[in-house]
Amino acid sequence: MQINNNYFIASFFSFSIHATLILVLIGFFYNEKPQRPILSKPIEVNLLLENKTQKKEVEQRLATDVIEVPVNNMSIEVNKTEPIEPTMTLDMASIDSGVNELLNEDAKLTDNFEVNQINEFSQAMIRLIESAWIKPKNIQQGLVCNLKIQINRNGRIISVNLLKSSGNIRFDNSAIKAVNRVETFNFFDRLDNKMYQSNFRNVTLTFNPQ
Amino acid sequence: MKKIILSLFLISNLYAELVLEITESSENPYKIAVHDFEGAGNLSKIISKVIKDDLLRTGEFNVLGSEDLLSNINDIEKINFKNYRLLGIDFILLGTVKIEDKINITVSYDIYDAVKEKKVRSSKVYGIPNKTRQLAHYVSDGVYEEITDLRGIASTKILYVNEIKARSRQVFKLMLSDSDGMNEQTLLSSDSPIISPTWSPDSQNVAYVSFETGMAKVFIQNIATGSRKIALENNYQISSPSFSPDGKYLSLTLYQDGNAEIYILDLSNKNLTRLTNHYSIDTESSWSPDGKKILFTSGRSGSPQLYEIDLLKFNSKPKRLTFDGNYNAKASYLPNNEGIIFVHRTGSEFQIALKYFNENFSRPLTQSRLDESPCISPNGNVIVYAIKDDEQGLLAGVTLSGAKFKLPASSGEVREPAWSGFLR
Repeated sequence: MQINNNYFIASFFSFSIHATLILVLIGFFYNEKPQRPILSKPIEVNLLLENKTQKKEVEQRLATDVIEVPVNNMSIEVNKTEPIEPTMTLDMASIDSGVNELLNEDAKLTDNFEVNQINEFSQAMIRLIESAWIKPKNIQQGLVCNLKIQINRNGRIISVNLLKSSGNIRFDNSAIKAVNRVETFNFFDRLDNKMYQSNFRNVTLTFNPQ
Repeated sequence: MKKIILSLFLISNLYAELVLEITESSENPYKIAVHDFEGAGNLSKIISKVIKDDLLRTGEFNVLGSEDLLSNINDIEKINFKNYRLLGIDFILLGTVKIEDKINITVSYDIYDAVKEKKVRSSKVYGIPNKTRQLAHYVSDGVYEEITDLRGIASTKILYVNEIKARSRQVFKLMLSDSDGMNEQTLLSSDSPIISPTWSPDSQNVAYVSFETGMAKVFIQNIATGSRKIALENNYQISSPSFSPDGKYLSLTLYQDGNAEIYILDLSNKNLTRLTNHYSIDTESSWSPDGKKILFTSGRSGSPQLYEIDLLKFNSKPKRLTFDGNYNAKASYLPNNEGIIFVHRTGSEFQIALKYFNENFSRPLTQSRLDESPCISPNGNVIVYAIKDDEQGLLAGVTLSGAKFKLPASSGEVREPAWSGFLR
């Protein structure tokens, strides 16, 4: 009876372990994360915090400067009086909301600028690759392949990997060939470093003929 | 704490990835400048010509010869890539032919990328003087492989039947030629008809049907030695042999039940396995590249249509593959198993068509009237087939990219081409 009981317990544990494994394999515990937009949201929030503290420090420094102003000579005083005004108004208004509004606008502007720039560079890259791509004729419809390319700071493509094959070797080869023909995106010198690091270092290309 | 969060965000940011979608493509094929090869006088001219023809026949390039170019330079120091780019040239081929001694020729060649301004391939091929065309084919394949990343078929062979009508008698010949129709060799010459030639997967043997015994019998012949043996001896007509991809089996059409049925013959012990059983005709079997399926033509629906049978399933029912048109026959699989090529009738015209398994329509590839016996190259890019030109049978080719060409026939009718595998 004792042995049977042990068997029973063992089989129970075995069952639960296997069940967990199978559930993991069929993706029961897998939560699909929403796809990250081009600009990741958390970064913006973070930048806001950063800017806020910096601005505040600047304000404090300005305030201390203002106190020192009368000591210095006239010409400097004139220069220094101009930045005083915003701090004065800010002091008078509720500081928090005012600063936040300004910063939000600022962030939006930079956001738009970044998105525009990303679009512009993406379009230029797409144009270059499309002009280098010779799609094989008489291939079946609906072939799609994904390539992952790594680009260095100078715009040179340093690696090309087939992420997802279309199943047709002629189609896959033509896509890889097109990227190899492009070799260098010579407009990368106009890209600022932060944007390069965050968006253009690794790029996925989807070849999806219409 | 804030720093940790910041660095975490930075890390996650590294994985945020830009996805670009490429939907349009350039319509212009690659342009190659083929300069006449240097050295060895007339020989290098022949080699350059063969290479240019080979590259043209692939249908994937625009080929410019020395005559289309400004100058004939054969030195990398003097290449002005800008001039080539102005002509829209993507690649430049330069080469040298060298006769080492009486029995050795070497051809060395370099491929330059005019856009990147650098050498992309440098190679050498070796051969003997009376096989200079073969050397040129090797160079063509090297160029094709460099530019498309696919294996070239210039150095493969084609098998076909040649019928010559003399005044008093007919002669049937089983012929072997290079992929450009040149360098013909006779494998067998007979007074009785020869039909349905086919290659073994290792390209060492060929199988064909000969009527020399008075009945249709399948023979297997070794190309190198010329030795031949009958595949199966019995008292029935046998036709359309096809080797399995592993070379161990031969599928055949046997008439032992009064009508045509498909059988599989085990070549090691001559055991026959019946595959189809229907009162209508089942014939023209062909193996899928993975050896798991057999394709055949059957009249079971009232008109010739293509069916596929799964060899791995027990007692599997043939599955009909073609539904458009009232005549679809003589089919074979694409080498990558993505579809089939076959003869398709629209109206009164017989054309070569291509059908992908994931598409529900056929793509006609040719436009003439009486196209038959299509056969695809081992790289899946070219189809050679038989046509009637002024009531004269000859061979023609079409590439998937749309280029068409005819293969010259020495004399008489030419029909039923069969393409070898890669020979190198």
